[in-house]
Amino acid sequence: MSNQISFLKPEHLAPIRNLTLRTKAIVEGTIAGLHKSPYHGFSAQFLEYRPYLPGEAARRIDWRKYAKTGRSVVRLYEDETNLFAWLLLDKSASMTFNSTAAMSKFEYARTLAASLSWILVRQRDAVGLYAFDSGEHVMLPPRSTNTQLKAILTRLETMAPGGTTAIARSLSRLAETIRKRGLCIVISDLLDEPTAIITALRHLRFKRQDVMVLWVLDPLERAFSAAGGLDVRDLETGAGVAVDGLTASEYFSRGMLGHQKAIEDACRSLRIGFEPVVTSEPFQKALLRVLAKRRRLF
Amino acid sequence: MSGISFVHPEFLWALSGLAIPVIVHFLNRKRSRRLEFSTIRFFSAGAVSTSRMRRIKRLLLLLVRMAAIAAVVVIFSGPYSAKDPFMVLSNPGASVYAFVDPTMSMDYRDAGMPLWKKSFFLCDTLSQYLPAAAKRYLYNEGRSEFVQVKSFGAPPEPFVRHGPADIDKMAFALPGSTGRGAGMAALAVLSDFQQNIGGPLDTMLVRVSLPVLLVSVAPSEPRNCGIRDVSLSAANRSVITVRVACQGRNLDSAGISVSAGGMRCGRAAVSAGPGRAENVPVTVTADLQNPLGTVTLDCDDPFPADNAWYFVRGGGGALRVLVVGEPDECFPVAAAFNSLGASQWAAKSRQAHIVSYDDIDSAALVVLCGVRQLSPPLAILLHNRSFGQKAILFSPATDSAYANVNGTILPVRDPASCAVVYDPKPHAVVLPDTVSQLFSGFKRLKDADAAVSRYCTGLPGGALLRLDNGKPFATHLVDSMGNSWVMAAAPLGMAREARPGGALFETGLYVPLLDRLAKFALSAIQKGQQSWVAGVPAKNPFFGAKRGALVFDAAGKLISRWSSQPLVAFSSPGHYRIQPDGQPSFWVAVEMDTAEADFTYRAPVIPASKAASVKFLSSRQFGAFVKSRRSGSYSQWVWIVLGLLLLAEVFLWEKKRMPSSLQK
Repeated sequence: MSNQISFLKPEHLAPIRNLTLRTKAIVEGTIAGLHKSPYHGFSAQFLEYRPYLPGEAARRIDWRKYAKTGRSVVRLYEDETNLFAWLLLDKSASMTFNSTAAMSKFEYARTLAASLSWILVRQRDAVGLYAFDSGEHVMLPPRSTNTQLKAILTRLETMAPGGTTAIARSLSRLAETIRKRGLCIVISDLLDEPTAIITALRHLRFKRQDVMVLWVLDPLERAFSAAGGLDVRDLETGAGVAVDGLTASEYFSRGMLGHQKAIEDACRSLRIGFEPVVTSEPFQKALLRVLAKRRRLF
Repeated sequence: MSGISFVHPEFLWALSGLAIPVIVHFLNRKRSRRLEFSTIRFFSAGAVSTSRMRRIKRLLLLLVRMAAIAAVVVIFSGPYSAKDPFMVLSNPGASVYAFVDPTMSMDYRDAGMPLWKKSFFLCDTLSQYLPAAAKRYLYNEGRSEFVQVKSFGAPPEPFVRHGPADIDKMAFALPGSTGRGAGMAALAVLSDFQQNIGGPLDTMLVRVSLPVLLVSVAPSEPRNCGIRDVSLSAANRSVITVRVACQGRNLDSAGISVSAGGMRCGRAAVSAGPGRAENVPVTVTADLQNPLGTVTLDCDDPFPADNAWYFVRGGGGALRVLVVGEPDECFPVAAAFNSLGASQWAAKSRQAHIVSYDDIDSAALVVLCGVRQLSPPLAILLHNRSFGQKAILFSPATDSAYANVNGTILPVRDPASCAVVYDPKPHAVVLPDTVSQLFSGFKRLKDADAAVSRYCTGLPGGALLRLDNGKPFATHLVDSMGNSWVMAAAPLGMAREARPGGALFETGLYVPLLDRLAKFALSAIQKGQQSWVAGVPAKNPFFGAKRGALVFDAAGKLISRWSSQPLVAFSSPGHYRIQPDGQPSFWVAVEMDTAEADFTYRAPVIPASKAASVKFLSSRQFGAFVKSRRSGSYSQWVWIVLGLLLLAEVFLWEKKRMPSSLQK
């Protein structure tokens, strides 16, 4: 099915400065590619009708209503609308790294967050935003209204990355505030101590949250390749180190592999979805992959 | 570096290629660029030190590549030690002289190939490694000079084999020996270096100033059996004693054949161990009627030249007799010698004042017959060693006017001791009781027929014959010059003064007396029939005789004409017929030089001062030595360095590995 979708590559969307427009373009393409919604309620408490969306299972159409009115509608139930989803966005300085002409990791991550917000709100799910770094963080508690979506998009658009990564502290702080069972989607480059990250994820799971980690990577981080001497500066701390390209490639590749393996193994044991996403990958493709995996997991 | 020079220094321009790796290095070298990266957490201290090591390795790699290029250039340039005199072999302007030992020992077949052929094969190797423009000279034994050739691969024309290794002549023909500068010249001497060549070669090495390569082609373990001597018994003509020697091998029941005139007339078996020599008597079935005899040793060995021995019975030609004195006195003496047959004696007479050096030199026997004055040649004969050992038959002058001259001629300390006495009663010569060794088997004659009344007293030496009064009639003495004197007390020729008695020539005793006295004088210094050795020059028996001779081989083929040349030689062993002008022919047997069959080798003594310019090499070392001079004596070391550099290159070079994917 994915082959039939014309994916919009990040470099095509980058010129669209308006996040709302960009998100709309992404989401429409994504919804059209879905066979069925990964979120469906279990409660018999009817809430309202909503129009049938292409891609949803036909069995969900209210055929009686269709016989009376001739419109294809879907019945919504109370629990289905009360899915609480948190979008946990890393806005540390490391997310500003961009080795391509398209998007930085932060740009990609916030577009991804906006798209997910759109999808969730459109499905009447409550969605909240929690953008964090070592300093101040942005927190919008989950709601399922269009006002909430606008608020999220506005905050995402105006948000400026900075500070160091402090996933463990930030996520733990959030976990303390969550009272209701829900879904947490972590969008980050995870450049922190693996043990701290795992501790935070475990904390979220302890709070009965379904957790999904979208590991945002720049293409250069995915396959580091450089020649000649390098004076590497850390975007977060400003610290520098002088290495040659070949050595840097070897060490970085080895280090990243170990880092990924540690987090991925922990996620598997905690039943947390872990999905690397490279900023060169089309959004729809990434979203479909994420949503499909989510469906398999739960 | 002052000690290093190059065969092709023009190739050193290629050292400018050293700039290539430097340029490539700087082109590939990227400036250290700043990279704002998401994290440096994976770049630990190890990465920094590894980077530093990589930088050092890259620098080392650059140096290794530069050194490798330099090594290649140096190899092509042919480095060598400037102090190496043999680098002249790689110089296009060089003159290279080759001397191949022409002696018979070089006929030894080592691994199926004669040593002289092997020598030319090695010479060809030398020729191949020499620059094309280098001049090549090969020693021509026949012409006694070095002849320029295009290649050393073939013997010169004519190539005189089996000649003597006249090292002195060869050394004289070399540049630098006659005042000419040696310049860019080198000498290669290829020989088996037998002991007999060692002495002259040692002398030559002291004298020559150019670099000399002594290449030994001697077999490592020579093995040979051969005939060393054949004795013909005068008493028993039916037995021939053959001396057989073995070296480095056993001889088991090999056959010895004796043939005369091509017909086999005797055979015996011989066994000998290594290093042993056996005397084998061979009984011939019939008396050797044919004068041409051959003894053959039937065995298979790598040096067959000494397996045959040639002899001639009763041959050898006439012995030359010079009779010095007044014609009337000399005539009976010369006539007596000539009457014995032209095959035995060839006598001629000369007056004392006209006798020449050549006359004396060519004569085996000098008869001083009443000499009354000493010409310079005669004075040299008596008081100098110039003529070598001569047999002298002295016949005194007994006339009163010159009787005192005898004392000045004879080898006596006091000339006055020799006086001429006259006894009216003639005294006969006592035969044979006092001189049994001289007249053994001789028919006893009437004493009165050989009686003298005027004779000399005070003759030096031991008495051979005595008169009946006990006075010596004939004495023998070998003087300090080595001359064998037989002195007669009374004139052997015609005496001038009238006297009763004293006319020996009128008796039947006269001719045999002269014959025996002459032969005794010759035998005392072991002179007689001339013996011939192949390749060894000997005195021309016709030198100064104003007549020559034709020389034929056993098959009747004319091989030479002997005329006025002082020395003549036979090239190979065998029977030869000499045909003198106007005289009957006679046969001679030419043997091989037994010294050539003695395969005892000796390395030449290299003077300490010539250690650098004289090399003694085996045939195996020779090729590598010459090759190293072609490519430069240091080339092999540079090759090793280049190999090490390439090894270092392999160790230092690292392939740029693409980083593995983070996602499996």
